[in-house]
Amino acid sequence: MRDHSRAGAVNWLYAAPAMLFMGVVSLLPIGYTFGLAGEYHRLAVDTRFWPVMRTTLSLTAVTVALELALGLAVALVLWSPFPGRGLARAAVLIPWALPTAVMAMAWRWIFNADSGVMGDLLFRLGLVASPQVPWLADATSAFWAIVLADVWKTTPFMAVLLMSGLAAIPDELYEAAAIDGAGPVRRFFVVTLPLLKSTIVVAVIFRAIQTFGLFDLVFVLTGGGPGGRTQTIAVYAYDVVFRYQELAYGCALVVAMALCLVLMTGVMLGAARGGKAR
Amino acid sequence: MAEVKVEDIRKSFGGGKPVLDGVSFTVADGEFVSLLGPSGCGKTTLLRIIAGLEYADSGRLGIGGREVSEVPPKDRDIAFVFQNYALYPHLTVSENVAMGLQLRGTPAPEIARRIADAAARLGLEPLLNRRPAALSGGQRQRVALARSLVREPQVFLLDEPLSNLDAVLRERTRGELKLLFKRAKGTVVYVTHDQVEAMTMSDRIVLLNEGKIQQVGTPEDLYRRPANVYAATFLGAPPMNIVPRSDAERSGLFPGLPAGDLLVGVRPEELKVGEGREAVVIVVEPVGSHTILTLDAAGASLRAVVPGTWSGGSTCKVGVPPGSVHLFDAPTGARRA
Amino acid sequence: MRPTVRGQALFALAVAAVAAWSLAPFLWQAITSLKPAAEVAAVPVRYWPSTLDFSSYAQVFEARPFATYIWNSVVVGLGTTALTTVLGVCAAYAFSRLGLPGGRAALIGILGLSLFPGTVLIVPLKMLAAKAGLLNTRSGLVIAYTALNLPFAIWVLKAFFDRLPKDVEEAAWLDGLSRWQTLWKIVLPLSAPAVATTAILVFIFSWNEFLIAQTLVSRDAARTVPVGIAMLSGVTVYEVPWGQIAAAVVVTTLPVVAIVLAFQRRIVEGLTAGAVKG
Repeated sequence: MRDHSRAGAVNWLYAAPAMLFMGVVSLLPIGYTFGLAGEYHRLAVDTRFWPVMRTTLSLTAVTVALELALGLAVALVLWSPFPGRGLARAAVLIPWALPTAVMAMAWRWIFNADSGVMGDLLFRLGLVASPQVPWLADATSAFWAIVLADVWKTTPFMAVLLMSGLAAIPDELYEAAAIDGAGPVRRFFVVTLPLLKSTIVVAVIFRAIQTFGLFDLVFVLTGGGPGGRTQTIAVYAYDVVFRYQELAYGCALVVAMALCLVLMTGVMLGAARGGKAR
Repeated sequence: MAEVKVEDIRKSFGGGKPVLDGVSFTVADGEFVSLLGPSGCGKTTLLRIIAGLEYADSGRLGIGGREVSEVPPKDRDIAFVFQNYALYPHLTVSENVAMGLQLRGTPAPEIARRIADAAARLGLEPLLNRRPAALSGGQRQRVALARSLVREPQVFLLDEPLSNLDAVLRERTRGELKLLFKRAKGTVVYVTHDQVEAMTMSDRIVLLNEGKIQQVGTPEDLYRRPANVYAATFLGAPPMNIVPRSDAERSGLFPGLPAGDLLVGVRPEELKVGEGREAVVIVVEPVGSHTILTLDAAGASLRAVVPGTWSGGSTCKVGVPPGSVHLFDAPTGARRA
Repeated sequence: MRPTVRGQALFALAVAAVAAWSLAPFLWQAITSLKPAAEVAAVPVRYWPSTLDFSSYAQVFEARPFATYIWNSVVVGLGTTALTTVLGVCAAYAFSRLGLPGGRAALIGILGLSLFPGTVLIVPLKMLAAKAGLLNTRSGLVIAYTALNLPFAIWVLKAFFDRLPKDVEEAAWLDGLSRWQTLWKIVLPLSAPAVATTAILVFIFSWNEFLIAQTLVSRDAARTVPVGIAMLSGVTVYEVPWGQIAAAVVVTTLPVVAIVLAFQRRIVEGLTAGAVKG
């Protein structure tokens, strides 16, 4: 660091405007939410709360697992140079870059009961009895519709994170493994996967946190239906506050959500560290 | 029989200048051969082609009497020691060393025996349960060596294994390496840019420059009878003095030069300082055990080596003993007789 | 290690499959938007329009003030990008070069803050915005978005500044430039790629944002596109104008697709830089 004479508190001025913005818009409201929250006892008696949490957690687990597997596959395919890689990468990035809420509309059309292309395609492939499937009217298929849409959107992000991890693995290790006698599959398990572990851990934790708070997709694709059976905690809290106008309880739900997040993160970090200390 | 036969190997990257331009030589069973040359001369590429990590554009490669040009690395019965060691960072030392054997289905007791043997030879016993991150550079290098030794291959390929060690360690390790491979009784192909390493360790040296072989021979051959100017100036420190014919004649130090466009060479350590013709001392470089003098002998710039420190002042006498003169054809650089 | 013809063919197939999967929903929307009205909801599903019909596009702009929505999104996007970039550069520079006391803690705090899902903020945020008279305004959105994007921008830019060699700045100091001048005249030109990347990503985030836009804006004058599209569905229960929705989706997402195609490499770098530090 140069400038020891001018180091110190004065330099905070550079960061001050940014800190101010973030403080007012993010920190303050979080504080407010905690302050406004009340009626915590309702969490225990609310019959909707636990199913909603269950839905949210299972959505998170399933989606992140699928994203990881697919993201890894995509990363492996798109990582080494080949002609047209730029174009392929751009194509793959597009799902992530498109507005979630907007694409949710697109997915609603794909899953439309009467004229949705998903039903038609599966019918032509002989996988369903009729081309008209009420995807979003059934809790299970609606759940999987959300999973599909979310995995579609976030796989590119995972792939990018994993590609950066892949780039950090020196070529020499693959060569040494090749000379040691490992074919391509073995090399994946002996070199790639172990060295990717730290990147995978970060990516999974990050994505789990984001999926836990999923709102846009669920709100627009299913509205939390049918009958509230695909509601995530974020959608439920929103409903409670803005539809049922129950401010205090809604904030309590948000607080519960935040605490769950912290807990979840702690558990995942603990599991990751535990694995490392082998 | 672990002979390595390289026949007319050529390789270019991306259609530019060839990295290897028709290289051929043979390494006999059990021989220690160095591929020596400056960076970019193609030696590492050649080594990687022998290993199967790269493929030549044309030419043939034989290992142990078998044609292996299209055979993948794991089936060539070779071991490779990487310049940066390429140790698996998430595995312990013993797991690193065992990897190649495990992948080949060697039975566990045999693996254990070989690891114990290599560990003893390389002083790795206390380190077997550590991970590479917890090792020093020298220790990692020994692990890389152990990994190659336990495979008991026909041919060992080493890519500048000493270049990442500090100078002191390098000196010490050189001798140890030579002994190690002598005992292992394998054929060794060793890439280096350091002529001292090549000279001290090899049975024979393959000198490369810009993808072409300059000379193949024992260290003695290359030192005493360099095949061209390049070989003459690459080996020996300070390098051989190369003087154009006109300067050589003017200096009066080289009587009886034959006709033709010549370059005259004489090694600094062979010049006799103290008797002969007058010369001006321009630069004095004391090295401790000896001193390097840069002399001007009637216009010809020569460097000479004298033992000990120089107390002789700013002029001296210098002479060229008969038999220490090398003659090279000026346009081609090739040795003349 | 030698590529085989069969290996290459399989690889090309994999790449094509991945690209197709990524583009399919978007392409389906494009196709749907170009169908004549009668064919949109036709049963069985038509995979290609009989003629290219642009009437859906015309209708979308008539039925709702879609042009206004797009303009709002553009204005908010550009405003957010500009503000975030300026504040983010200053803050990131401060964190990277100026040895802020307590800087590390602040950074971790900022990162932690950014992980909270939007749901945690919206209730108080709406109240604060109302108090400040910023409800239903574009400025309100810009302020909110800036605050939400700053953590990411600071993270990426700081990672970049950390890697920039200090010598050029030291030479500037010896020449007599002040900190401020050094930042703007020397460091910024050198950082143009990273800043551009950050700007692109911030614009994309802002263009796509839904929850806050939905919460803070309930009048058409300031409404942004994602909310506008989500509203299209609620016109009537039975006659959902899927063709128009498709047209709206295409119009909304085309700019993003173009940006991604143009800046694919930058985007990957930007995401990676953020990821590596994580």
